[in-house]
Formats: sequence, structure tokens, C-alpha cells
Amino acid sequence: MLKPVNADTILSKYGKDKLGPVAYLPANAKTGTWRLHRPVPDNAKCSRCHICEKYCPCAVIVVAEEGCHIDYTYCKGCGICVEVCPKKIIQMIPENSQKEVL
Amino acid sequence: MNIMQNQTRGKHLFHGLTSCEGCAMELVARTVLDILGTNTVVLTPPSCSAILTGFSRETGWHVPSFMANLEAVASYASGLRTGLEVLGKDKVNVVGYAGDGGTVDIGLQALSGAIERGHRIIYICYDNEAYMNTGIQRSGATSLGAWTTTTPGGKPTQRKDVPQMLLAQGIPYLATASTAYIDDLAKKVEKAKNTDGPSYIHVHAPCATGWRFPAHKTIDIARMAVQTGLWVLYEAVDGRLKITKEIKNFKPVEDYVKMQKRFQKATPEMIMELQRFATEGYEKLAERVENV
Repeated sequence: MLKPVNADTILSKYGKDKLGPVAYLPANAKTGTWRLHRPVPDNAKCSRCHICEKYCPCAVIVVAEEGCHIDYTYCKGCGICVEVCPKKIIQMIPENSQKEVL
Repeated sequence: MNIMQNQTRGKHLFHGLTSCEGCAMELVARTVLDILGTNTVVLTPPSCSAILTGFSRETGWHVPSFMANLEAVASYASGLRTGLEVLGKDKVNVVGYAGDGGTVDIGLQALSGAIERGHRIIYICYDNEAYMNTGIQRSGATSLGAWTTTTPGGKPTQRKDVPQMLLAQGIPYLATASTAYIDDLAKKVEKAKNTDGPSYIHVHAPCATGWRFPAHKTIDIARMAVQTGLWVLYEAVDGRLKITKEIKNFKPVEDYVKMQKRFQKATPEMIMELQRFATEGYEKLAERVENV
């Protein structure tokens, strides 16, 4: 499981001056704001094949027993999951559209 | 549901990296790290992969990483490897993760030297066929007929075959892979991890920004390159060649070319030449496999 890096712990352990030019913060751009279309899976039809999970470049998809979950904070909306899904159950829906999502 | 807590794949890179949407380079990096695990040090040149290494206080890797020179990723890797061996940390994987510019053009001498010295490093080249990070300039890996900002009428010459150059040098493990065949790539990384000596994997990674196609087509285009024969998936263990994805019915190169706007300036002769390159290239490789 991913353990988040705590910058304060590292800084207090080594001291800010002694740390040198190193990176200690995880990259955390909210790339979800780039998205123009949002992928929405139809979990009733999902076969849990994990292919979308394998091909997602940002690794924001987790396929669990309940179906396919997408983290919309970081999903850039590239649409690769839509293309690789063998059952074509993921749809791209325009952001801010009137259509109810989730 | 908290994705970060539950994810099983791609967790050695943080979320929120500012690579382009549909970036194959990021997908390759996540797949490679899934196999190698946390006991890994990654070196990147200033390239698109520098986005993963990060700027200032931020980093994208969840493993130790270092930004090397563009010329000398493999040299840094061999030095780091030797240092780790002196410290008794033999189990650490040292990975050089560079693009086609940092491998086939600028970093070639460093890579060749590192292979000759026989350090146990894993060098992975993600090949997006141009210098994408600086604004799409041609590289030695750019395909014939492809538009870049420095070849506005389509590149007049054919690409460099670096995997074959390194094979001639006698590298213990070498493979080509594609973003479209992720399981195949994972198997090859596993083999590279268990190789005692330098190993090299050349991954074909389409770039939506530079090749001018919609981001959702990334995987389709990578698959098309393999199915037309333009990109052959093979591996060589101690020089013994084996094609890992055999193609029975080749698709015409024209189908691959039509999917991308970068080939708009290519003349019909260039496309014919590409077709010849694809067919003959595959046949030549297949012959060598039989002869071994």
C-alpha cells in the first residue's frame, strides 16, 4: 500500500539546511481540472477483466468487486479506458453537462 | 472509494503528474516499476521523463530517483551500480529511463560504454520518435516521412535501428516492446530484472501531442505499428533472437499512416518505402530466428 510522504517528518529528521537539493514532496497537481470529457463506467455490465486498470496511464482506475472506480481528482480524460474496454461499457460524457453522472 | 489506498497497479508513481493526457511514457514507467518494485533507483535525463522525476522540491517517483545529464544516463547508472555494489547493496535495480533522443542520438556513446563494461543495469528507452519535450524536433528514431518542426516536409531518411546495433555489441538481454502489449512488456522487464549484466528494452510509445492524433487512440496506434510490421516485438537472450509477437496477416502501412496527422506531408513514394521497410524488416528478422 502506498504510504504518503510526510514532508514535516523528513524535515524534522534531517533539518531543512542539511537536506540539500533533494525532492521530498510528492507531485500532486490536480490534473482532473484538465478534463473536458469524463469517463463514466456502467458497472452493471462490467466483467471485471482489469484491462482498463492495466492501460490507464495515470493509474486512476481500480477494478474491485463492485466494479470499476475512477478517481476524478486526477483523471485527465484521455479516453484510453473507453477504447481498450472489450465490452465498451465506459462512456465519455462532457463535463458540466446536464446529464446526471454517478 | 479511495483509489490510492486500493490500487494494485502503478502505485510506485504518484498521481497528479503533469505529463500530457494519454501519455504512453507514464504508462510504461508505471508498468516497469510494478515489476521491479520499491528496491529500485531510477535515473532520467532532462526529457519528458523528467516530469516524473520532478522539479524543485517535488518528485513523482515513489522510489529514489535522480536526474542525470542528457548525454550520460547510462554512465550515471553504471557509476551508481558500482557504488551500490561496493556498499553491498547488490539487490537494488538501477534503471535508466530515457527517451529516444537520450538513447539513440545523444546518449548512445554512454549506453554503448555501459554495455561494454558489463554493469548490471536496466536501460529502458521509450521511443516516441522525436524530441517531444523541447517541441517536436526530429531525432534518429523519427520515422521516414514523418512531420516534425525540423522536418516540415516529412523526414527524408529512415530511422536508426538501435536495438540491432546493441545486439551486435553482444548485450546479454535485449528486447523491443510496445505500449499496446503491456503483459508482454511486463514479462520482458521481469527477464531484464533477472539478467546478470546489462539489459536493454526499447518500448514503442506513441505521443498524442507530437504525432497529432486524439489521445484516446494511443493504444490503437501502438498496436497498429506492430500489426503492420513497422515495429517488431522480439527479444534476444545472449544473442539468441526470438520474435515474441508473430504476425500472420499484416495490415497495410497506409492504415497506420492515415491514423496520424504527422504523415500528412509524406509523399506516396515515402509510404511505399515505409511499406517495403516493414515487410522486408520483418522477413529479415524472421530469417535470422530460423538460422539460430
